[in-house]
Amino acid sequence: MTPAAVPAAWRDAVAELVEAGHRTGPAELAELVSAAAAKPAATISVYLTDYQQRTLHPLSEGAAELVNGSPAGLAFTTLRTVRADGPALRFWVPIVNGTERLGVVLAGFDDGADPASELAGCRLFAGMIGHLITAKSQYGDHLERVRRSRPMTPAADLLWSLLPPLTFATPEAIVTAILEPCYEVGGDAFDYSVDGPIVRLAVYDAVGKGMRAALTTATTLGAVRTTRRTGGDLESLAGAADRAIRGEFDDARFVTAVLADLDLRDGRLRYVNAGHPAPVLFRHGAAAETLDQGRRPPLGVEPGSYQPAELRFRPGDRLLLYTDGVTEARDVSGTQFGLDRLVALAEDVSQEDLPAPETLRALAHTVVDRQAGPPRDDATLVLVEWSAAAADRAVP
Amino acid sequence: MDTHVEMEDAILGALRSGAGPLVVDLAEVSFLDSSGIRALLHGREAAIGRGTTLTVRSPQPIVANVLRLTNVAGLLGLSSS
Repeated sequence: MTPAAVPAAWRDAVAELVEAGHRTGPAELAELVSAAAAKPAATISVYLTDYQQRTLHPLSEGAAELVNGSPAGLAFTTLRTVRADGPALRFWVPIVNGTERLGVVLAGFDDGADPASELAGCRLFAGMIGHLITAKSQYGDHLERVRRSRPMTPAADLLWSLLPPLTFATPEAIVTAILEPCYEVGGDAFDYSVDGPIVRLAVYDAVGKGMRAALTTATTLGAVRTTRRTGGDLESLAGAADRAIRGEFDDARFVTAVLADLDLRDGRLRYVNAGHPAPVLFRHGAAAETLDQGRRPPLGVEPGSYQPAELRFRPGDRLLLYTDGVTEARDVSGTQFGLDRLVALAEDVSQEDLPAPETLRALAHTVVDRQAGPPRDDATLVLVEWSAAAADRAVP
Repeated sequence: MDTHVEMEDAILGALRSGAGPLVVDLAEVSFLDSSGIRALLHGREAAIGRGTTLTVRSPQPIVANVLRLTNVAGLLGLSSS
């Protein structure tokens, strides 16, 4: 199917977003969008997902939409355009920045409009909104306020400011992550960098909770990143974390971690497992291997001698990294979620051909919803897929 | 819940009063999380700082498993496999 041509009025509208956007702050973004959408005679309302990806909150007025079970949520989760309820010509269109899911717009057109060409324009417009939201959110608190269904703890606020976006895709691979409980996280974190064919991944779990744990994690993230940015190998990254943690704290605190480097030119995957639950490799949709070699004590504990492990990642493979807050989440009867259940669930969900971030959202929410009472520990999931089709599915 | 704090205080107190080498008997410990491991490692470092040692013994299987998965069993004097 050839996509419909973008009408000139929509190109003008995108140009206005760019031009007028230079001097627009986060609190005026909704106004800017409405004004620009007047050119193609459309009405556009922006909704942002909350941190938990459960609710879509309007940027200006209007009621929030639940992600589960609403047309707005369907557009958000599947990254497809969805017709809104009611007789008017209105559609929910996903907003992403790159492949990071930010929310949806509700777009309304005049009755006589041709939906195919209007939607082609609107998708381009929504793409520009995605970039603007990301660029502008740093300059004020308005967009953050909209995205929070409740206040964060200071530790969570600090930690989120240190994390990369949840999702990134290149034409051939996708990395996506999720972290719970969003408003109270402390010691868990994930990190990645994607430079050409080199994907560098990390998942961390610091001892303890709250701000103490967040400070340990922040120290680790800083040490590993600065070493990574000078091209350090896996052992150097781990060594930098060891020195930083031991230099900063004298109570033997530590961070369990997996550090991994994936080279998409030949699929070579090297990793170090620093006392962390072993990531699971899925091949042809089924768990094939766990990354339980390359072992050393947690970061911050004297490592002794160890060697990074190596395996061959193949096109189509998925790698799932997680923290023990996922597998040790307890239900009402006190039973832990467990690795077997996580693996079975991941195998099931992967058959649905959802966008990777949606696969992870479904996994995380199953764990959280099954849990009795407030979570005792942070839970993090990171999924890497080497698949052009998977990378495609993450784009609206 | 915070029994690891008590354990840590007991270990550090014993070291301060000149005790050592220390052996921590884990036979009665049915649950050990990362905070408990940190308390043991802290005790171990303090012991080394005072020229002595700290090891653990008799962990229940579930606790031994946690120490192995975290890759600190060897540091605490258990076999690491």
